[in-house]
Amino acid sequence: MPVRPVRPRPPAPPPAEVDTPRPPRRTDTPGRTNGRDGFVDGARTDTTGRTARVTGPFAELAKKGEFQGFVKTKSGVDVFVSVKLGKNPGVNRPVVMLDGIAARYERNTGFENLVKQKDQSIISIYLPGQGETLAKDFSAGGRSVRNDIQQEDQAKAVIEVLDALGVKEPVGVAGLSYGGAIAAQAEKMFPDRFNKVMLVAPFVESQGKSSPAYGMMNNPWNPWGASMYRSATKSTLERLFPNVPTVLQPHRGAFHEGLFRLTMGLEDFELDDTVKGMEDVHFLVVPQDSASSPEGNKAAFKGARTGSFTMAPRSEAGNHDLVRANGSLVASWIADVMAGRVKAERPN
Amino acid sequence: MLTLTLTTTTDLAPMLEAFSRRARLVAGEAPPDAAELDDVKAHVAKTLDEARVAEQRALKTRLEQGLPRGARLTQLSSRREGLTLTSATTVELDDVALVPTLEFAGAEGQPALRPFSGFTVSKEAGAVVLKGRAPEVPAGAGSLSLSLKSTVPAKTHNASAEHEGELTWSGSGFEVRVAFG
Repeated sequence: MPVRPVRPRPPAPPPAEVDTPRPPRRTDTPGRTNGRDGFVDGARTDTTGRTARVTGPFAELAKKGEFQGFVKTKSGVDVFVSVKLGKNPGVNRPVVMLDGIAARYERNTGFENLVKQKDQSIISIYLPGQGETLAKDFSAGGRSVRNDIQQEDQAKAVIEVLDALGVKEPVGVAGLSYGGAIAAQAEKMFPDRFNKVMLVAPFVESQGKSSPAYGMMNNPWNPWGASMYRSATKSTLERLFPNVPTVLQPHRGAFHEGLFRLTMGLEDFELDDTVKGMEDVHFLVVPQDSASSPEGNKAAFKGARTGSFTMAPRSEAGNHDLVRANGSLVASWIADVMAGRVKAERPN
Repeated sequence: MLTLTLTTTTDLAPMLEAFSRRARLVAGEAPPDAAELDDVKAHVAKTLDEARVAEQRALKTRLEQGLPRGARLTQLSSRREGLTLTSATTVELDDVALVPTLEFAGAEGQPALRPFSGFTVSKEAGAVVLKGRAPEVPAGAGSLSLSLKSTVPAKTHNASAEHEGELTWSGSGFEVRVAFG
């Protein structure tokens, strides 16, 4: 599948709500520890060039400024987060972005800028098992990948990150593929924390489950089945991905273990069950997407209470990773949903 | 005494091919070509052999510990041809009444497997009758077979094959009916 690279222009600094102009906020260097506000380390910048007294429901987030680094959650996990702020950040309701299974910051930064250009604040969360979060955990013993990483635990991690960032008001949550499953799960478990759910080519169900052989690997007459299935899955992932992302290269085995634990953790996930009865859930689906079938998405959408179903243009057929293939399209769609320009209606 | 052998045969190749294509897509990469798929299959075959050796002892211990009193595990084997896996599990039972209660302990956090849940043992016209239905196998997924040998001869049965007193059923969702007496 050809994936067109997205090369966004650098965003213009948006104006912010300002009461009193002050000197530019300092930029912390990565690795610095700050125990005061939940940040472990990272880099902060002020998008406005000025710091101001910020008010509004998201003032606490806005006051932290733009940030790329780790936050320590209540559970004691260091989660890598990137915050980019749109115009009027104190009142600009952010969207949480959960990328696909192989998420890492360098892959997503272009997309974050596209969303910011739409004057939409975005909080990208790199979940346990993914990218920078996995790299940090692996260097400390790899606790997160000792077991399969369940969707419920990932949903809790999202909430704990929002708590650590001081975001208590409902926000939007968007997810691509694996991230779509976690976005839906987060809404299911914590509906008061989200006002809109945006699913971009979301994970529908386990590929194994949709294969006839899956039944044999879980057949009660086959005590070998479960362990052979796991072994086959793990060795397939090892062979399929010989190129380890830069952030995980110093941590031998981490990338594949992360992929494996994230994959197995979603074995029981079914999108239609998760979004059943959900309100304000919006689908952006790719034509001819063999990794997130339009039919499976349509069936899931029909079970929702309200939402919308948008099919990407035919020119994107087969481009499962729509964020990298056409980031502008996804960014515009997210901004439109967040602004209420995409209406939530009852599925037909 | 009753000896039961459960055999399963599964071809993993179609599942691995579909899984591989999708795994690449969800990671934002192009799906594997035929040569890459062949490479993946060869790697999986090799690691399955290693996993089967590594798993054998732990699985045997787990299954033995989970069996009811009066049941013994006498065979736990697996073999591989290409990506087709065949497992054979033999259990010896002191009494046919134990069949419906048979459990294979699951791995940590996993439920136990109950191969004969839904089977019944009853007395009918002076005979002890074992009845039940094998699990369904999805089309194209593989096959199941059950072999049964008893020190008490079967008066009647519906097995598809009989050889030196050993009864065998094969296929998917097949009915089992044996009357001993």
